[in-house]
Amino acid sequence: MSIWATLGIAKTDDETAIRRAYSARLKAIDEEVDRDAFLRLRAAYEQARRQAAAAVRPVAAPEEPPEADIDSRAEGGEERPEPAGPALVEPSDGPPRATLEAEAGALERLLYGEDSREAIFPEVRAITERMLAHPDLELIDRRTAVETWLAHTILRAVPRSNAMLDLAIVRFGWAEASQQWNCPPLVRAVLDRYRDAQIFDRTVRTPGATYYAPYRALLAAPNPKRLRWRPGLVSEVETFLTAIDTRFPSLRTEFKAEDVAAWREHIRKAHETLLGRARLQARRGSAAVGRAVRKWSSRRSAWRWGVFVAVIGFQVLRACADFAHQ
Amino acid sequence: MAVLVGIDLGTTNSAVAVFRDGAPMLIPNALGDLLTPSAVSIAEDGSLLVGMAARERQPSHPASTARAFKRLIGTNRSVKLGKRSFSAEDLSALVLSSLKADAEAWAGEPVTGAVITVPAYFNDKQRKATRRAGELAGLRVERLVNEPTAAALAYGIHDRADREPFLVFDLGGGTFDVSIVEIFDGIVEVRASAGDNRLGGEDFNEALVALASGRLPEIATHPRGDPVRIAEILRAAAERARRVLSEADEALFAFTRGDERHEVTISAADFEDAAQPLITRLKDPVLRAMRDSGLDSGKLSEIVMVGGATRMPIVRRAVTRMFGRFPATSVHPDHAVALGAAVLAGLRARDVALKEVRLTDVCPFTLGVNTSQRMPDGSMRTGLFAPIIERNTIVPASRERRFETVADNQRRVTFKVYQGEAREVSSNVELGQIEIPVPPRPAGEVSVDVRFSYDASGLLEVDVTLPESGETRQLTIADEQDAQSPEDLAARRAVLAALKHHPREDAANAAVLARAERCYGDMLGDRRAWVGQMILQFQTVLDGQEPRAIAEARGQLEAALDQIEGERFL
Repeated sequence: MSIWATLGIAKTDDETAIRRAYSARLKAIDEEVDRDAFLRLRAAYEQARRQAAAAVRPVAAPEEPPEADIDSRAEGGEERPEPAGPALVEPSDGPPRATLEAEAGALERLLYGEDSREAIFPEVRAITERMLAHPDLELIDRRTAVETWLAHTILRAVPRSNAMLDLAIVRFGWAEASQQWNCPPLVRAVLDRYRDAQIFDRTVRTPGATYYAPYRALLAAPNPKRLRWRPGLVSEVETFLTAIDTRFPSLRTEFKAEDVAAWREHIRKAHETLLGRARLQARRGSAAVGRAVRKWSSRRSAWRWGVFVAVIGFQVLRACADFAHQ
Repeated sequence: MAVLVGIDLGTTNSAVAVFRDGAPMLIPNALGDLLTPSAVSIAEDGSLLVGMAARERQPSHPASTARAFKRLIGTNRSVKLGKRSFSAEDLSALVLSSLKADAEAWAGEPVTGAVITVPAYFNDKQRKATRRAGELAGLRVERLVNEPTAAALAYGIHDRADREPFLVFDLGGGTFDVSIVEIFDGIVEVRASAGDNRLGGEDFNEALVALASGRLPEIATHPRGDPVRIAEILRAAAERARRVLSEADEALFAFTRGDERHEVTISAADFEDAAQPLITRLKDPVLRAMRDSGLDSGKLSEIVMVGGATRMPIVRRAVTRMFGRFPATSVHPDHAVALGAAVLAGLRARDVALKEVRLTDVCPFTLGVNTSQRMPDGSMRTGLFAPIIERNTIVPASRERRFETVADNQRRVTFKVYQGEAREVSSNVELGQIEIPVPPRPAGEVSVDVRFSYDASGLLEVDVTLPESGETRQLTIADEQDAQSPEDLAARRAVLAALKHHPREDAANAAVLARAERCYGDMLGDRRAWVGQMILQFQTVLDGQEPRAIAEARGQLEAALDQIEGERFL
């Protein structure tokens, strides 16, 4: 039975007609008695409305990309909820506040400007604080708009937006939001960035930290002359790059793209030496064996212990090979 | 003819209403009031007092009086009244039976069934407990309906016009709910609900007590007497001061402890500062409901305020600031919920006046099961919540989701059913558990379908199917207490019925007497002596058992009490 037959009308994009048909049908069934009839009707109604909405959209103005949305709203101003009546305007004491739009503009100029990250840090923080304490944020529509705009801005301006991270996270309760199953991906991305930035400060940028040496090395292109004296550094940089790629992608922005590319090239070449290739093959082989073993042991559990010992032995052999290379 | 009533079972006050002659109307209680305080007390002679009389006894007899027990419903905590102990369910049942008696006296025929309201954000356990309370009171519970939905129904039904989405902001004595509702062609459709079932007028009282205690150091430094009693005296003082603050810029927080009178003036601004954390908590549910409904606040046609606590100017101001406009004032904040419940009772009774009206509500919370997930680094994360019916789905609803085995040679799959929004099931409410055996095979090669069916009264059915064999297991969510036999229910009902009920015609006398006794405690010096005198006189008239004389003396005593302490309030 088609959704239109369930609703009892011909196919249409007219939303009002769909709703009218739904209400007429709903009054005809007794949902307490015939639950399935209700479920069918409701499903048909929702699908019809989706179809109607999809059919109407192309005729309307093309939708703006989500990033531009907030900006255009901020400048256009029509969509802003207008305070209704003078009684709502609370007596303001102190100097007049800059509007949220003005603050947002100033913030964008700094973030996308030329000044160094350290130089803009205090001002970015000050403006963000002012924005977050702005009385207009009491209006829930404005709050939602600013929340979305800030999250987008933070992600677009990584790493220059670091100064805004903790302020925005606390103000909008994003840490709590991430505990929910339907946390928006945008919020999760900002929190991931915050975690990365913290890890970066703690275990990378501090002298003496685990990744300090490869971090310093990655700030410039590889220098073959120096590397001759530090043969282990290439492998350290490789590990660091893998960690960034797999676990802390937002840290890529901390380095110049051309430096990183040069390092990747250098690492690739290092693997092309005879020993390098052998190690790569060994690593691939061990992974393949591991996979095969897992599959096999899932069928014959009695063999698991033997297999375990074999795998450990193989790892030991590989470690020996690495040691010999060093 | 069977009479179906609608009952608003509130934290502070309750009300009962019926659908008659095309409109819902409230039923007055024995005192002639439309609201009955949700309070229960046991008098010295072992007789039971419900309503105003019980509330007035609270400051003087805190150990044998209970109120605000709706906050405990669905938990295992019990309340001690004198030597007896009661569950929150029992106490609610006592209030419900008092309302039932009022409705029967008014209608002149037995009340058979009721639609009872619950906060939208009540969880499954709290809903079941409320339903059992209705049954204990001898009512067939036709349906439980969410309070903001009922209020929306009362608001929307009076002129039958189509309405753009509007928002119902329901801040009661103990719970807070927000619903976004739309009316089209007689269909009242709830689009989203959110709430906080631990936020209400009582919390504002506590804030006021904390504020006043800070200014009266002698309370904190010289704790004398029974702490429970002092807490009750302070709470009553806070309630009074809060009501004054709804109209004036400052209020006297005044109370008498023993023979000492304590007073402190609280200004509206100070109260606003003290209540700021509570005001902040009002925002979350509003934001969530708006987000879930996918609407801008500009699209809302109206903000409807329901619940006694929305009378507070600080709450109204906060709402005004959130939406940039003033809330509607066309609905009576204390009556709307009961009236809406009566409309729904009329719908259930197929009242002709409501032939063209239908209501669809949503499930305000997410229902799902626990799952495990293999992480990229090969470790296993367990206890992750997998939603099946997402919050704000129109009910009745039926949804299915497929899951795969996570371990090799898994012999059975166990699903625990949860309600909540947290990503980790440990923070959600567990509702039950269901198990199905599966053929042993490598991980991920066996799949199981889980279907959740949720109906309008909040009953959840879980069906687990193994698609390859068609084997099915079914679970109807029911907690331990639910499995209780009809005999147990009858036994508990008998225990409650065995309590010596105060005769209905004496309710007014008991209420006035309790009030006078509280007044005696509140007053000092000559006034106290005067009140004592009046109590004695009234008791003498009562002993005479002459109805006319009693009614006259009661009127005099009430007038005198109104004169010395201002009109009594509900």
